[in-house]
Amino acid sequence: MSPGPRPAEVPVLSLSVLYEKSGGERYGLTLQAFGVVLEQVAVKYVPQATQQQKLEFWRDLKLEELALARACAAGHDAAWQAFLTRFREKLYDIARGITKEDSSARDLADSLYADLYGTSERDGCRVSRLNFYMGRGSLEGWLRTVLAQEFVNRYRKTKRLVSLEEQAEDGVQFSAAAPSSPTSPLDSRLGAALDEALGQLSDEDRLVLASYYLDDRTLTEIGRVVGVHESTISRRLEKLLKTLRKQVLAGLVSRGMNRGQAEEALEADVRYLQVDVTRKLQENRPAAFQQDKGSD
Amino acid sequence: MPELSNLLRQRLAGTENGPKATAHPDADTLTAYVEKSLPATEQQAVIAHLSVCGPCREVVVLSQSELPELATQTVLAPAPVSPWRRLLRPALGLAASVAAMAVIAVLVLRLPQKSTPQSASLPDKQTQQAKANPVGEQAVAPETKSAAPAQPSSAPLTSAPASTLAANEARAQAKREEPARAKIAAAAGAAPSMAPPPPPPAAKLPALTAGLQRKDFVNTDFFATNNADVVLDGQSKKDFPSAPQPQTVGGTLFTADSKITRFSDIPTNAAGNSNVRILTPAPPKQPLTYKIGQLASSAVHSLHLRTNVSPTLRPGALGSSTMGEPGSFSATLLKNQTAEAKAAPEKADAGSLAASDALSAGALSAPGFTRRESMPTSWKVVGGKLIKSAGQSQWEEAYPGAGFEFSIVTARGSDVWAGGSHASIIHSRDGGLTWETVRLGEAATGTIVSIMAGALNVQVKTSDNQLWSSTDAGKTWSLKGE
Repeated sequence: MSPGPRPAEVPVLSLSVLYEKSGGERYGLTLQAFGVVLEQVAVKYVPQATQQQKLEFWRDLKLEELALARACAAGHDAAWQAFLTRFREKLYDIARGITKEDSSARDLADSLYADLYGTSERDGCRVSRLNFYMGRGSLEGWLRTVLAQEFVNRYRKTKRLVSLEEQAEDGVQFSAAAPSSPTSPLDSRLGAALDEALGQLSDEDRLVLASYYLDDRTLTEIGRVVGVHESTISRRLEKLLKTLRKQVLAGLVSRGMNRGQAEEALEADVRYLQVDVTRKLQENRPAAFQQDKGSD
Repeated sequence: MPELSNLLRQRLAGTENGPKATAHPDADTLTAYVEKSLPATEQQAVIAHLSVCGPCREVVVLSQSELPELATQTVLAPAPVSPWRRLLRPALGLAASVAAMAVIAVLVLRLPQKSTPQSASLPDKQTQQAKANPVGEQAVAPETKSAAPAQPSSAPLTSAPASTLAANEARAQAKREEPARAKIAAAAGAAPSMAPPPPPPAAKLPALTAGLQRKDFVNTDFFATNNADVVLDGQSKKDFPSAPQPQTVGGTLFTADSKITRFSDIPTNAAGNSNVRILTPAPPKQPLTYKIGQLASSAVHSLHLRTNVSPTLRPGALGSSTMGEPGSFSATLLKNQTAEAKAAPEKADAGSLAASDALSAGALSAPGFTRRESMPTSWKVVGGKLIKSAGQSQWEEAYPGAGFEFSIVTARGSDVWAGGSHASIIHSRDGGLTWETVRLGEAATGTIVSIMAGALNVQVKTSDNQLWSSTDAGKTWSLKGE
């Protein structure tokens, strides 16, 4: 009996195969240096994995972009040429999409370029931010995320740098904290019932609620974050509110209220409810922003 | 359910960054989450973090700002069509019907010519026509009628070279012609004497009348006087019936003779409508380039292609939860941020990378990486100072010695507005060469947080929630709301 046809030879997954796939040789990245980079990624994300599991994990990385980023971080000219050709204009476009304004977009993108090139030094070596790219997502997506993080950080930092003098000029004066009024039993029961209902939500439902009610995001934006269509988000929100209301009413009833009292408690003005510090901070948003968000 | 919504906001905000909050995912993990390439377990972990972390939600939303346009691009590809469906396409059907009509029209117009030399078959045809059409019977000669039974009616038809279809068409055409000829004869007032003479031998027919049927009225005067080539062999003018004379109908010269042409010979049915449709030429076809242009235009709409139009200024790109909450963002990032803030003026001075020394010569010589010589003036506020840069590389203070700290600048061409603390605003119409101080009003307080300037209409918001507006480019101001 003659042996059957041999199956097509699958290249054995190995470091050299991954190195060849990455094309790191073009940018002067050696196999050894590439192996160090991959090991660094594995230590960060799959520290307990076996060698085979690591190889499978590495296979799913964006190897070509990882090699490009690390070669740029190492200061390889050809890599920088390739990087600038591919991402220079794109980075400005992304920054413009985030800031919605031209000059600040250019400022944001330029500052990131400086970080990517590495203007600071540690132990005599230039530190490039591209060293932090691990290849789990695309390089363009990573740049987009880093720009968004920069933008959010800058904004939050700016908000915290309002000088005290300026606040005093604006009429914001230090005042002693108002004596905390004794919490009414109604507040505590309603808050506890709602907290209990919120605690039973799934993480995704809570993400939807937080994005809609805290961040004032549109259904489309929430749909993109969660990965479903906006109409699904709309239906889910409606269903969530109904469920929450039902659970809160049930919680109030279980806490000694009758149905009418529970309905009345739900319709109570929110100003009479207990105010915590976080909510107070939420209310301190700039007035102009509130108006703009309201008009969207 | 507004009451529940308010409660929800309150309680959700209370649990933000609570005990459920974990360490912020790094940029790689967030990118992989946005690109849906995370394993399910990690994805759940990221969702759990996002549900209690406002800043990370902001980052995720902002980093997705331009993805949908790429994701929702629709590729217009023709759906696979079976060969049978392809044959039944409307265009092919239309083309087939047009071709069929053209063939019929050609047959209809050609058959009278072909039938003329077939002298043997004519009596049969006429006999059949006479049987079928009693009206036409009046105009048919008695001898023709009597000769009909003498020959088998089907013989000439079967012996004719034309196909059966053509023969049937010819019969139908002849039937249709009969009433029309009778009418014409009646109109000419020569009905009693209109019986056509016995058909002459086909070889002796004049050349000009070869295409006409024998019973057609022939204007012999026309042939005698106007056509020298016509030779009436062995026959005098008297052998032909006299042609109908022109008659005036309603002041218009109308002759029966004029009816005996190829197109005027079209018979009419009882309703007076023509049975033959005159094929008008098809409308001029649109040139191919025009069609391609139309297709391209519709494709652009279908594909939602991006244009080069810059996005408009939309204040408040961030969600509200990021605005007021105390900082709890990644310590690493905050640390980097601090270093960067210290270095920010240097980076600003460096301007764009094109003019920076930070990059190597090789990097600067990359394709598409050219210096921009004529850049518009850029404006920004750094450290409470208003600075500008005309050429990307040199930033200079645009309004030194201001008694207040700038907070915002808005430029529209050479029209520049800048505002700051104490509700102070300055305005330049010449790109910053000269400045004028703008007085909002005595009631204006707070720091300018927003300036929206048009050609004449200007709106200014202050941190005290005041909205000042001007309709005369800042000369007079009115307070809209507080």
